[in-house]
Amino acid sequence: MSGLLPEDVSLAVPDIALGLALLTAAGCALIPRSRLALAAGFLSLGALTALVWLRLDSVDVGLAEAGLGGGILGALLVWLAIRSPHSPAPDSAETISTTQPTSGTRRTSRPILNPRTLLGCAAGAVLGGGLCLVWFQVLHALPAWSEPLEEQMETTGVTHEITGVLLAFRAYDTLLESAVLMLAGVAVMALGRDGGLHQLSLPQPEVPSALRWLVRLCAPVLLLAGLWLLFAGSSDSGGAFQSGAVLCSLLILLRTAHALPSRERTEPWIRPLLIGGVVVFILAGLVGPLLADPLLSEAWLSWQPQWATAAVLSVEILLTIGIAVGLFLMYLTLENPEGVQ
Amino acid sequence: MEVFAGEGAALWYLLLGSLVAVAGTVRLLLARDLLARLVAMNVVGIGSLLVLLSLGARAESAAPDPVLSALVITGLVITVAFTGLGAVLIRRIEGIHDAEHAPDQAADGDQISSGQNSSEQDSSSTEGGRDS
Repeated sequence: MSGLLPEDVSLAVPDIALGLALLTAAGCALIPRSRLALAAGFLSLGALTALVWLRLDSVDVGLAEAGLGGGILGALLVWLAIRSPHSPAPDSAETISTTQPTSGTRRTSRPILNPRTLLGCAAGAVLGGGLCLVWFQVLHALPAWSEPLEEQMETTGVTHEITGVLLAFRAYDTLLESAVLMLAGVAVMALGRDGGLHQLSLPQPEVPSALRWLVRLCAPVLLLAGLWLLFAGSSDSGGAFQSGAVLCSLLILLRTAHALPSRERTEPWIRPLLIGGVVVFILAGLVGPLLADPLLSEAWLSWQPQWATAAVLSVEILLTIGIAVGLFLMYLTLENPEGVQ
Repeated sequence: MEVFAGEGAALWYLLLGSLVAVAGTVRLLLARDLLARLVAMNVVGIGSLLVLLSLGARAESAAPDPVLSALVITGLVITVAFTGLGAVLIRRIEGIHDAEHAPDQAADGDQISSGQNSSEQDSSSTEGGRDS
């Protein structure tokens, strides 16, 4: 690796350390057999990846990774690992011996060395080595879209470029992405008992009082952080997805500490809030062509500069709520105590 | 050497991303455990996003490429969506194995399970929710 390094090695030391830690964490997320170890490895991988994004100066992506990739995903996977009815070892000796009775006698004691694994690792090594060689050979051309992007930023109504790209230039893409998250929430509700809301009426296990106090202390801070991420997104790092992840973690904490309102009071709101963001997004996209001068051909999902800020902000607020509710529904359905519909 | 030094960090993460993605793919194809597969899919996602963003970080300017950053955020959201759905599916698959009378419940789960678990309370609260 010394060939990659700049002459001033001291500048490269953090990168090397972070990279090696990333590889170790990836190993921890891939190799262990216990499910809890896998989930914990993935949690650390998410945290380290957030640091890598910060190292690459992408604060937005770092926040999204810390909130969504590290936080919510880690919570879902750790929960799933803990609540697994039995923890079958992946590639355990029994599984392999039943499916591959002809392989060598060594497998029962060291099943990691069976031919299938060896072949897979060899193919992966060849593929990885080839890919790395390719990166050295290719011509490193930079993307050519930076200048047109800067010229067009004034028409978006926001000053932060990433939010502008997400909600103005690639609005169609963001709409579909929010729809994917909403549909995942809907699918999860369909898989859960009683429309996915059965868990809301179940009694929660008792938690230590220290946790309750912690939640009371953290909840206002989390709410403030979520709102700040949402409103700062128009001019600085942040945005609907990061904010939604923080608000979802707030909901999870409140639920753990028995602080959520009763099911009777929350249930009427959950479905409208889940789909509200996407519906308003579509309606706001339709307003542009409907109100536009008929002589000007106005594409849908494009907004006049004078009210682009209002449109983008209101869409973003509702999207954030929808994202938070959708993520919370995934967590809620996982809580199903029997795991059976 | 100047240009090479500027690109060094991006190239390092580019290589790391490729290796992580390949390792995740290998694990995804070899694992039998469902949770291990789900985690491996996420590792592949992290590796490919790392490749994507370090491709955008090769420029001399400190600011990250907004187009690629937005694409990476999109990728993260999609990852969370499929992982959440996959986690619930895994929970349901294994839950059915775990139950005492698995075949019946798998066939018509709705009626049986809601009948077992305080159907009165469930139905009344559902109606109340739909009215308001």
